[in-house]
Amino acid sequence: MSPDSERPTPSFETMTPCEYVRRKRSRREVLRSGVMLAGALGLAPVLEACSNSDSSSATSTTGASPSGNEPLAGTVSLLAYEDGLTPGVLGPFEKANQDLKIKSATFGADNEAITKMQAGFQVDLVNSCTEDAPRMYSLGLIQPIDTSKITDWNDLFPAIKGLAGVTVDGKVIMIPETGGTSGIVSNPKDVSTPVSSWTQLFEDPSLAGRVAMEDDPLSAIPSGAFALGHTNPWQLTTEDLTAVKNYYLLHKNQIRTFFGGDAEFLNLYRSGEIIAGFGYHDYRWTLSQQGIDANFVHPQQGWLIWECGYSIGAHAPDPENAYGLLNWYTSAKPQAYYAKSYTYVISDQKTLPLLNDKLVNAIGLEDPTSAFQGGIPLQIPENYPDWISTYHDIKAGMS
Amino acid sequence: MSASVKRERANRSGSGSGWLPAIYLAAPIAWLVAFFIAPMVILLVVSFQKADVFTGLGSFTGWSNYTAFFSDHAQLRVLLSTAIITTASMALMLALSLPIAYLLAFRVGRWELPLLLLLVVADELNPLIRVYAWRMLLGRDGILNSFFQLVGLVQHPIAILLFSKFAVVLVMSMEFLTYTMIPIYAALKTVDPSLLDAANDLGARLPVTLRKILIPLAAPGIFVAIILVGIPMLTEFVTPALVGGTSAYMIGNSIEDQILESGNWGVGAAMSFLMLVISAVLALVAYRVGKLNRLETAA
Amino acid sequence: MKRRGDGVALETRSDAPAIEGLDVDEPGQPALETGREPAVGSSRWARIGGWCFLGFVLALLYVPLLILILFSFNDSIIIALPFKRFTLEWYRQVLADPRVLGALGNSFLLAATVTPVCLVLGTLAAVGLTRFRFRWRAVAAGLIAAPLVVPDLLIGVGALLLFIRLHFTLSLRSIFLMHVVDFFPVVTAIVSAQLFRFDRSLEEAALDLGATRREVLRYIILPLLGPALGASAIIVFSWSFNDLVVAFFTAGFQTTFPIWVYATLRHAVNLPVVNAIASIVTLGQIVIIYTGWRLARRFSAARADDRGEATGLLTLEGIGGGR
Repeated sequence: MSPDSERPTPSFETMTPCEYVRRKRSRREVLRSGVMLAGALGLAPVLEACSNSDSSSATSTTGASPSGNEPLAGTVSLLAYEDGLTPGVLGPFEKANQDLKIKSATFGADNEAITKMQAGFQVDLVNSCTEDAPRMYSLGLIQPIDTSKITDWNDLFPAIKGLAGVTVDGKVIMIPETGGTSGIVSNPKDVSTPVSSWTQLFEDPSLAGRVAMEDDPLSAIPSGAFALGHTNPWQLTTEDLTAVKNYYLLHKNQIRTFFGGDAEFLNLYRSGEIIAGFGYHDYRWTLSQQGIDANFVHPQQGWLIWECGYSIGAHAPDPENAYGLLNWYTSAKPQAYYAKSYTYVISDQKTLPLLNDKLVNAIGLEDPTSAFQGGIPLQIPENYPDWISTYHDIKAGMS
Repeated sequence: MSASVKRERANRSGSGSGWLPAIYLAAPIAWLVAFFIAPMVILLVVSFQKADVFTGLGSFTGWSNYTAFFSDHAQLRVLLSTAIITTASMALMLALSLPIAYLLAFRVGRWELPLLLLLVVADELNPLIRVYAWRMLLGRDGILNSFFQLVGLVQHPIAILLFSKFAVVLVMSMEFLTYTMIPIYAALKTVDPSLLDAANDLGARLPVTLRKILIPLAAPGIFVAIILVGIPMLTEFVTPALVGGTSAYMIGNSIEDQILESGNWGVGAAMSFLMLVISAVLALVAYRVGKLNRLETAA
Repeated sequence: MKRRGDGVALETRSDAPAIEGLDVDEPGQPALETGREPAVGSSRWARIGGWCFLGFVLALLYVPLLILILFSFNDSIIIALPFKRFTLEWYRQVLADPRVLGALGNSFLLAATVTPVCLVLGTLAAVGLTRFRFRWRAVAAGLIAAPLVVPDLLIGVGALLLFIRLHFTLSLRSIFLMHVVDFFPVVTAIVSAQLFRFDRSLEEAALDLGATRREVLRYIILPLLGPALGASAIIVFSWSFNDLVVAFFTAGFQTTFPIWVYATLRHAVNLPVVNAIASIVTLGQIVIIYTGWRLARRFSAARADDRGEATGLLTLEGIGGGR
């Protein structure tokens, strides 16, 4: 055989696309390096065109226009926790706004979102929580919200609207949507009485090596501070922080692992790796839905409140669509979904008729102040960088 | 430095080869400069800046990010811990890879290619999912513990299988085993089996053959493996985070925390560069010691 | 069949010089018939021990995968024994989720575009580095090897900062650019290794016979690089498809599969959907590799049949004869 056809090349018809793309390059192609390079960069638009942007499909059945306005068109970009993107919530919105393309990206923790946005990631709507919103605002990442454009603004529980972090310098920087509390979760199968104090969580030998804490300085350090007797975790001095660190290091054998995210905690709990730990109020509900018992206690020593919602990006490409999506999140149906699925404390009073009384009572929604009574809202303390390095030292010292 | 060097190289001829090399190297080097050198330069610049959670990236602060690292005992402990875990993993992988490579290169006959393929394919599974699968195996109520208890080996679950340094060493070794094995296998393949025949004829037993022939000849492969696997392992953070629990906080976790959690871009970048320097030095040492310069080029 | 290192057994033509130690490695050539097996330590126990050891290592590598697949069919959210009921629920769920399918598609598209570009750049660099001597070769080699040594975390963060300064929108494009630069050095490494082992005298003979450098590249070097290119392609495709860290920092609104897995592992309640999709993806990857391997075997077998033993020699003859 002549050198020109040194191997029987599979014909174009018989190759699968995958094989075609990965076929061995003939020498002609290799030698046209310049052309290939240009072509490769020209491939980039192909990538853009052929790629799939994240978007949820309309799987829910209701087709009613969510906010009563005319359908939106164009695009809207969203940066949110995983649960902000569930088809159950975004589905009806997409159905009602068929010409609107929702681009979404997820993150696991506020800090990731902040990091990406600081690096310049432009987005219309971003999931934010009361403790981080002021920081995002001062970093120039989010813009004030015109509450006149929020349909249900006046229907939000005043107690929730009034939480610190929603408004800064008289400007509303986030719309609160869902909230909850944290405390100690323990397994009734392994501990006869629910673990009810942080001191017990850290020091009880029967829990040794079976405790999980959340991988976040804002939960880890207050837990230690409460155990040491502090009532206000946001006023810790450097000596206090060192004491918390030493406390953790003293009891390092107590903690099995630091979990990052709800799914991780639930898995650890379900698989028996841990029998107690720092947890959020919705964990008990989720576990009970799966037929597993769990105790949840607000320790007398202190417990925290979280409230999250959405903010509008400072350089939002599509502010009008941002408001449209924001209004959807701040309306009865999506909030009812969150209340039913997670027992989150929702912010829109218009949701109440959609929930049955038992649920309303269980969550404490007749009066959210009662749900949050006695708890301490999350906030970023002034010496937060010290917190971070203390937490860093804890993790480094424990290993 | 690099920019002017490259321009020079493009403009004038090297000794005796004309500017032919430039034609071949132009595209790769250009891409490298644009998307590798440039980001590294930016990162280097950032490592000299102050940054914190409240203000983002700020003014220049000299070497303080670097000195902060060296004066922080906790960080130095983490570095030591990382070195220990990485060395243990490397040792485990080499201990497993050398026999495998030997068996594949010389012993398995017609099964060589299928086995090689099996080993390569094992690597196809997404590393994240592999780690997650190991968690299922190693947990208190995991497969291994259930099995041990079933056959009566232990009464209570062995807690240390998961969320420990042991778990990290084991899982990381499994993740990188194939890539450790392949360079060694490739090196052994260049060995003429008649060499081993000759050794046997001359009366050498296996240990001697191993020491005097196989290991020296596999050495380039071992050093390539160290560079390809051992060095990236130093900055690994996903596996320690998932299976290390509180016991295996490695330098990669530390850097990730600084950048993602703490907004300390400056410190994170500085630590990254330190790891870069350490990696480069180790790579260079491995390269020299393994005489890997013999692998390139022209006689 | 070929014999390694046994140059005299090759057929030679009278007008072409005998080539000593021709080292042509092609996939699919069974080693058994070549008499590679040395006599050292070939006792029965050693053989059994060897196979047991191989079995043990393969078990270590594959058991997690098998567990994964097993529990993708388990009707329980908890991933632990005992196995409850068989169900296809998780497969149903994951295949109906457009986000997963989108992420998979993106990863596939990405890997499929990254691989050929890496092969090209990597081969160019390999040829450039191994075939010429020039002043700054060591520097160039170090530079090209650098991405292999630099941690992904650095590359990811640096890339993010770079794209922002360039006002370059983050998307699959940005990941593509970074994947290429991060992975082509491995192509260079593998191809260089093969180029190094490749006997120069074949090239020199070709040059003596009047072939230009281009023809040498075309007819001798590239065909013999086949296995190296194939192996590199598999590695690059796999690395690009499975990459988490670099993609995590440079991704925009288009998720890749590993990013989706990472997010889901941390926040989804129905973890077995990850098992389901992982099983599907892995089996898909295995099929691809197997197909690639069979194709490679077929081509190389065809070549060997057509040409007899010394592939290079006949090519040489072709060139010489064609002039």
